[in-house]
This record gives sequence, structure tokens and C-alpha cells, in this order.
Amino acid sequence: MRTVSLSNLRHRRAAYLASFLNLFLGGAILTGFAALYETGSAPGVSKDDRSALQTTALVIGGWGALIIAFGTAATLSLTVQQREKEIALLKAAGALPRQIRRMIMVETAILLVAAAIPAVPAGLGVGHGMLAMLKSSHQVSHGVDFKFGATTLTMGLGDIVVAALVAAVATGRRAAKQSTAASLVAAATEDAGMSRKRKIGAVVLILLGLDDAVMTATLMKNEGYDTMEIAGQACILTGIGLALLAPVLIRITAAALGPLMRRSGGYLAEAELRRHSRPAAGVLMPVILFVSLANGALYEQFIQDDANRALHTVVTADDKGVQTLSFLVTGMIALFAAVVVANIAVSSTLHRRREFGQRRLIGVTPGEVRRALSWETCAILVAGLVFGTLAALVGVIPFSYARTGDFLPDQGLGVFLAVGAGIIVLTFAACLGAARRAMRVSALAAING
Amino acid sequence: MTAMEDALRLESVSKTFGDQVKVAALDQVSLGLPYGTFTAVMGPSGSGKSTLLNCASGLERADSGRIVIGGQELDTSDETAATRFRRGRIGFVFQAFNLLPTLTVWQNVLLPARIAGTAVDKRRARALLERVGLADRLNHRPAELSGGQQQRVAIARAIVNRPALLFADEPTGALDSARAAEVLMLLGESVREFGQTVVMVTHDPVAAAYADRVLFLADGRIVEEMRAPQATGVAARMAAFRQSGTGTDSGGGSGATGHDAGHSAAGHGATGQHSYPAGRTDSHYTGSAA
Ligand SMILES: Nc1ncnc2c1ncn2[C@@H]1O[C@H](COP(=O)(O)OP(=O)(O)OP(=O)(O)O)[C@@H](O)[C@H]1O
Ligand SMILES: [Mg+2]
Repeated sequence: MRTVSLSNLRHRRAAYLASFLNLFLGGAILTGFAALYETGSAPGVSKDDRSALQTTALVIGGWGALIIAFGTAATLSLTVQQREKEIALLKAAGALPRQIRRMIMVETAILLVAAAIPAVPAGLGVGHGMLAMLKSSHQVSHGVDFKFGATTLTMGLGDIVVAALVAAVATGRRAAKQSTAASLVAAATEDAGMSRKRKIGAVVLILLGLDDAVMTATLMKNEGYDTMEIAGQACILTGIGLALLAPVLIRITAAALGPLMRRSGGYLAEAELRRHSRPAAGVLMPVILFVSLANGALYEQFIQDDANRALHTVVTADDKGVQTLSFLVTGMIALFAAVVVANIAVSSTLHRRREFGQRRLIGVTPGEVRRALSWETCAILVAGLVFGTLAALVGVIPFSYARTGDFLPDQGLGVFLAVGAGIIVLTFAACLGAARRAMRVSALAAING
Repeated sequence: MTAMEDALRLESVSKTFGDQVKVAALDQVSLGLPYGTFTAVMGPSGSGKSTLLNCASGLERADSGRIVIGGQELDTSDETAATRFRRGRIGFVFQAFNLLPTLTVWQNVLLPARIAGTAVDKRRARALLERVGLADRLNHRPAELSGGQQQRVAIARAIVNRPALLFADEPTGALDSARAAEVLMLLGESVREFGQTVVMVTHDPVAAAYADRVLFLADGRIVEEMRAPQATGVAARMAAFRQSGTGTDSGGGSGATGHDAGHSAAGHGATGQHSYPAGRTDSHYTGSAA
């Protein structure tokens, strides 16, 4: 028998690196917000300062935490999924379910510790920077000292720790539960389908998102930053709910694009998307999230700015500062989502080197492999843009209505197009770059290695 | 002059694996296979049979030597060009089948034509699948088939387009003797009726007997050739190789190709045994450097 773990470890490096990067970034961003919170709760801080600091930390850190938890869990479960075959072989060789669960747990714990160590200082840097910005825009008085301690650590790292452990338990249980023969077959072929729990979770999240949307337009209509927070949550919850449905969404999209794909050399892409949708669904999830988050947060910020301008008439330097900070914070979380997209796209494409090798051996040129992959990527992006925008609208429409009485903001499509262009370039670059790398070795080596 | 071109010609082809420990998988192999011939390649495990097929078909890059297919030299420096050259001309039955898991049996068999952009002969594809006993499995996926069934799909896929040159790496390895006979007859017909040139690696003397000639490989060199082989004769030859321990014989020879009769000690163990899975020996050798 092959030396399972050693040869796989080499191929899984990309997936581990991806998980590490996600945990690190997520930990750093949230540690930054947590430090702001702790700074605000220190004794001697004035009431206004406290409110400013804690609102920033909780409002944005709150839905940032949701996204980071989801991104982390998605990346970690991908790492385990990619090892399905190895796990099946281990089970065939007599490993007990308990041993497999423990193996996954231990590896997750190691990753967590490795990522947390650099994440804490990086996060303190982020928090310090945000405090400086708050001070310079006079939202917080200059006398406030940067503080961090146990609260910062638990709030900052708690999110990724819980997300990672939940992902480890869930995937570990699934991997361990499957019968040995079934997992070998599943590893060889198909989607396991979506579990009932996942479907219910998706529906619940979407309903919560819609509930927030209704609240935004009605009860919470005139609550200042709280309205914006609820509207932001509407986007994120709906986005995560739709992201959970990614396997279904990608199949629907593939069916819709099928005729077009078949006519233009996407024959293998269509078969792949419809019969083996899991890798594509893995990429689609963070794409939906990125699109809904970036569009939702940015348009809501614009709407809010317009409303502020209508109230104050004079735009002060402080208003500018507030705006810069909130764009920066949105940008950080969007960056996290973008990193998740890139990570998952790269590691799941690299993982397909064997499949690409099989195609090359039977006469598909590397260029044609990339063309088929481009079709898959197109389908992912179409689905991601459509459903991500849908999720964003769930927050933006009621917020716009609450602030302006119109259903759509009058900022035009500029931001939307920029977000779309960004995610298109990023996803294509990640997928095609990784495919190029996956095909650097000869087809025979890709099959055997 | 108008010399008949061979369907496949190898000139001093060598291939070495490994960085520290060098393994000469192919050592200055030269051979010529005329059109419309059926050649079997035999030899101990690790003697270089798969490497020979991989290099000859352009799947693996040879270190040195020339490979000429249908009068055209194979150039593996550009994968895209080599692939374009290969498809339509060369069929390959892989030792590990290599079916695409997301496609059905039917789609797998039609795939080479689709890829090459040539007309899809559905009638022939159906007839072939019927011939190998898989007519009722068209919509199954590879994971739903047994090893032998997958192997038969792979064979149908390799020959459906009637490639001028067909390489088959142990195409009957997973089949029972009745199925194996059917497949071998199919290969023989491809040669006789369509003038295809078939090169087949096998460990089975009975299978080898379907070929016009058998090449014996040991330590990456062709050490013997047998024409119009009979199963018993082939089995005897293989047994003789094992007796003389060719597998551990390390280099030193002239490196010349052709028919080295020195290893053949016909007569040993000519008991007419028809298969010898237990007799496989892995050869370990550090082939000639330089
Ligand atoms: N990719 C590779 N890397 C390193 N060594 C290799 C590689 N492929 C083959 N070899 C070595 O080259 C030699 C010939 O291998 P090959 O696969 O051609 O043997 P074979 O005759 O087909 O054996 P079998 O009957 O077991 O299939 C063996 O010693 C093998 O270990
Ligand atoms: Mg072999």
C-alpha cells in the first residue's frame, strides 16, 4: 500500500497553508476589534469615548465575526474533504472512527495554535491603528490609552477557535461515520449531497436575514447606526444562508449554462459541475459571501453618508475620518473574504492535479484543460454574482428605503461593477494560476504522485 | 528509395529514473514495428515494459534516442503539440484504466473523438461495448463498475477511433479467461481487418500467443524476440528468465539491442503453465550510470 500520509502531506500543503492564512487573518482582524472594545471598557474612559469605541468594535466586529467564522469553517472542512480518500484508506486499514476524529482534532488544534501566535501581535497592531484613526477624526479623545488583556484574547481568538473546533467536530464526525466501502466509493466519485441539517440551517439563516430586512424598513427605521447594523446583518445572514446552498446553486447554474458550455468546448466542465459539484461549490461559497458583503457594506455606507450630508449640510474633516475608517474596516473584512476565495480556489484546483492528469493522458491538451476550467469558473462567478447581489439587496433595499424613501440608492452601478470586476479577476487568476501549477508535472507523474 | 516506413520505430531510446539511485528503465532500445502487426511485450515486473509504451507513445519523455511514428518523429518538448500529434493516431489502454469518474461509460468511450474533434461513430461505439459485454452499462459511472468492467471500457475507448497505433498495458490483467480471450480476439481483428498496429504488454503467455511476435524485456533491454509464439513456448522462455535471474543481472553488456540469445535456455520448466502471477520478481538494480 502507498505510504498514505506522507505522500498526501506534500499535496495537502496548499490546503494547510490556506487554513493557516485564514485563521491568522481572521484572528488578527478580530483581535484588533477586541482590543478596541477592551480599550473602551477600561476605567477612566469617558462615556462618549466608551460608546464610540464599543460601537465600532461591536457593530463591525460583530458581522465581521460571522464572516470570519464561516470562512474559517469552510476552509477547514475543505482541508478534511480533500483527505477523504486518505481517511477511507486509513479506515480500510483498521483505523477506528475515534482515532480519525482525534487525528482531525489534533491537527486543527496545531493549526489554531500556529495561527494564533502571530495573529495576536498583528491584531494589536490593527487595533492600535484603528484607535489612532478614531483619535485623529476626533471620535475618541486623545487621552485614551490603548489597552489589551484577557478580554482581547478571548474575544479576538474565541471566534476562530469556536469556528475551527465546530468545523473539526462536524467534518470529523462525518468522515468517521461513513462506512469504509462507502467512503472509498464517495471519495472516488460523487457529492455526498447536502445534509438535512445544512439545508435547514441555510433556510433559517435566510429567514433571519429577511427578518432583519423587514426590521430595517420598519421598527428599526430611525435608529441611526443601529439601523445600519441591522441592514448589514441582513446582507450577511442571507449571504451565508445562500452560500450554504452553494451545491444546489452551482448545479442550477450549470444546467442553465449547459447548452452554451457544450457548444463552446465546455463539455467536460458541464459534466464536472453537474456530477461533481463539490469543488465548485466550495469556491462559490466565499464568492457569494464576498459579493454580498462588499456590495452590501459599501452601498449602505454610501446611503448613510448621503443621509448624514443631508442632515449636517457641512461635511467636516471628522465626517471624512469616520468614512475613511469605516471603508477601511469594510475593506479589511472584504479582504478576508477575498483571501478565503483565493485560498479555496487555489487549493481545490491544485487538488485536481490527478484529474487533470487523467484528461491529459487521454489526449486533452493543457490549454483545453484550462479552457474547461475557465468554463467552470464562469459558472461559479455567474452564480456568485447573481446570488451574492441578491443577498446584498436584501439589506440595501430596506436600508435605502429607511433613509431615503427610495428602494434603490442613487449611487449608480460603479461600486457594483468594481466589486464584480475584482472578484472576477481574483477568481480567474487563482483558478487558472493554480491549474498551470497543477500541470507543471507530467501527466503520468500527476496520476501516480 | 521507397522503403516501407514502420508504424513505429525506436532508435536507441533510453530512459533513466531517479536522482541518487539511477534505474535504467530503458537502455538503448531499438525496434521497428511494421504496419498491421500485433506485438506482445513481456518481461519481469520492473523490466521497463510500461516505460517502453509510455515513451513510445509520447506520454513520457525519453532521455535520448529517436521515436518515429508513421514516418514522423515524435517531439515531446511541447506537451500541446505532442498531445495533438497523439490523439487520432494513438490509442492507449492504461494499466490503471484511467476512466474519467464524472463521465458515464458511454461518454468515456466517445470522449477521444470529442476531444479530437472528429466524427463520433456511435454505431461502432455501441457495437464495441456490446462486444465486450457492457451494452447494458452505458449509463453507469466508472465507480459503479468492477475492475474488469472498467478495463473493458478502457479498451473500447482506445480502439473506437481506429487509431493507427494501439498501445495496451496489460489489457487483460483484470479479466477472466473468457473475457480476456474476447478482448484479445478484438485486438487481433483490429490488426487484420483495419491494419492497425498493436503493441501489448502482458504477463500471460496465453495472451502473448495471440500476437505475431513477442519481445522479451529485461533490465530495460530487449533480450529476445519470438515469432509466431505459442503459449507453451512463451511460458518456457519466461520460466527460463526467472531461472537465470535476469532480473538481477546488472548491465555490463554491450547495450546492443536485438536478439540476445544468451539468456534463452529453452526447455527449462516447459510445463505449459499458462500464467504465473507468483513468479513475478521485482528487479532491483542500479543501472549503468553515464
Ligand atoms: N516515475 C518513476 N520514477 C522512478 N522510477 C520509475 C518510474 N517509473 C518506473 N520506474 C522504474 O523503472 C523501472 C521500469 O518500470 P516499468 O513500470 O516500466 O516496469 P514494468 O515492466 O511495466 O513492470 P510491471 O510489470 O510491474 O508493470 C522499474 O524499476 C521502476 O521502478
Ligand atoms: Mg507496467
